[in-house]
Amino acid sequence: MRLPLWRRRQQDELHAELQSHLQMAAEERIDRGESPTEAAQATRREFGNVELVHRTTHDQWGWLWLEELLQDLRYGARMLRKNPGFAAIAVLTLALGIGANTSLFFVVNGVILNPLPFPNPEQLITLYESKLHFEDGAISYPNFLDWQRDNRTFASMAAFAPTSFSLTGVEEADQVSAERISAEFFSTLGVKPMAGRDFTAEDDRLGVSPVALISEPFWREKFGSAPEIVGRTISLDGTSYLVVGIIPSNFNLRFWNFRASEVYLPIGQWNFDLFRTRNTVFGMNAIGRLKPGVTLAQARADMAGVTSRLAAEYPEADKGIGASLIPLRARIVKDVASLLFLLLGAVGFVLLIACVNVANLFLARSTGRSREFAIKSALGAGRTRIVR
Amino acid sequence: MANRYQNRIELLQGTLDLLILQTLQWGPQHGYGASQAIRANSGDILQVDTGSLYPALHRLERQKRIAADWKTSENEQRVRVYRLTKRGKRQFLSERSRWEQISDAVAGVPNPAGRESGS
Repeated sequence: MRLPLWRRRQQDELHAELQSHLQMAAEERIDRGESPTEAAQATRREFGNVELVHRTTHDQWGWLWLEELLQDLRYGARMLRKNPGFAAIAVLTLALGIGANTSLFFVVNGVILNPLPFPNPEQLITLYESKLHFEDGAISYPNFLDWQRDNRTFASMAAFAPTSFSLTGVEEADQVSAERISAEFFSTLGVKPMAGRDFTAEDDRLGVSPVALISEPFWREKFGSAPEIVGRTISLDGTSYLVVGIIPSNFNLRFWNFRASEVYLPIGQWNFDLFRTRNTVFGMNAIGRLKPGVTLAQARADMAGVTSRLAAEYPEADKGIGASLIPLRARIVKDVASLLFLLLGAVGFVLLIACVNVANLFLARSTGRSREFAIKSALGAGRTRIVR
Repeated sequence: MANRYQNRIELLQGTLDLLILQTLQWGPQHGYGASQAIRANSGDILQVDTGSLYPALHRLERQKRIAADWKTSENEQRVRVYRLTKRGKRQFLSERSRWEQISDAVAGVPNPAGRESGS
């Protein structure tokens, strides 16, 4: 790093100016009869310290701090080159500390601070049955249907229950992950199929022809993204399902026991006696979207009323059963937040320790450099200059 | 103490600036010429230290009260010649009248008897 060109020219000119002064003074002495050596010596003496004059004059130009900074940077670079081990250790220590922090911050940012990819995500609430020893328990299907019908605070409410099937008829038989969902599930979240249609209330009951939604990755993998898939059938556990639509791959919601799946089926078509029994649960939970302007407390009060009426109506099955409402974001964050913040705190300390270590290195080195500092201050370096 | 010291420096600086401007008033000069002129015109009383002269010249140049050009002297030497700018001329006139007031005022204070020989 060198001084800018104009600055170097200015320095050269000042040098020339002072030299011309010396020369003229000497010539005058020679004219008065002094010998050239005598004259040169006398002018020097009269003039004083040329370097000092140069320096004080040059101070008048301003920008001195920039020049000193450049000097210090050059000096620093030279020291680093002379001492590569020290430089490497300091840089590496800091890099480790900073790197760990950055990468963990990305995770925290992605999980906690980013908004959910749904319209008005703050309106999305997950629902559970609360019962003795189970704060967030599964909901029985008859109870869910009553919740859905009786509540006054939710714009829509949908149930979901994970399951899996064997897919046959496409290459080799394969296990596919599936989710039984209410017809309103995707419309509640605000997700639209990229092709075909969503489930309708017509699909979501017993005795109608089997239909399915498939995910975009599943469509790509198993059917090579064939556009005519909508309207064809797939065979799951030996039953044929008509594919009515494709759910885009950017739907990748994960929370609690829900995972975005390969296949979705209408939950109302599940013809299984126990599933329709009020006192039996099958890992089914629900998600709802609050009506605009409804608060979580209002929804909780509303659901408390709904469940207490059900408890009175079906004392055998529903005694002591309430509804637990947890906002979707809180649900997602809850499982990981405390762990993540703990980790973030931990790597924060790692960075702190890294800084302390580097500071120690500097301290150790500055004792070794005390002689240099003494020389510098003897030559008139200010305190700030030395520290820098 | 520090304050008094600073005041003295300021006064000296201001005086030197005035002397330089006064010298350039008679025509463009290089640094050496200016120092010789100040010395000659003060009857060898004022000797300007180069360590003060060049910083002052460059400071005045930066303040745009004087301007500088490189010229070749009679004996084929490259010299940096300073001249007054319009602004410098204007400021010199106002500063000189102030200086004259001060020096008149100082001269008007009668010297206490007996101290004259001691100074």
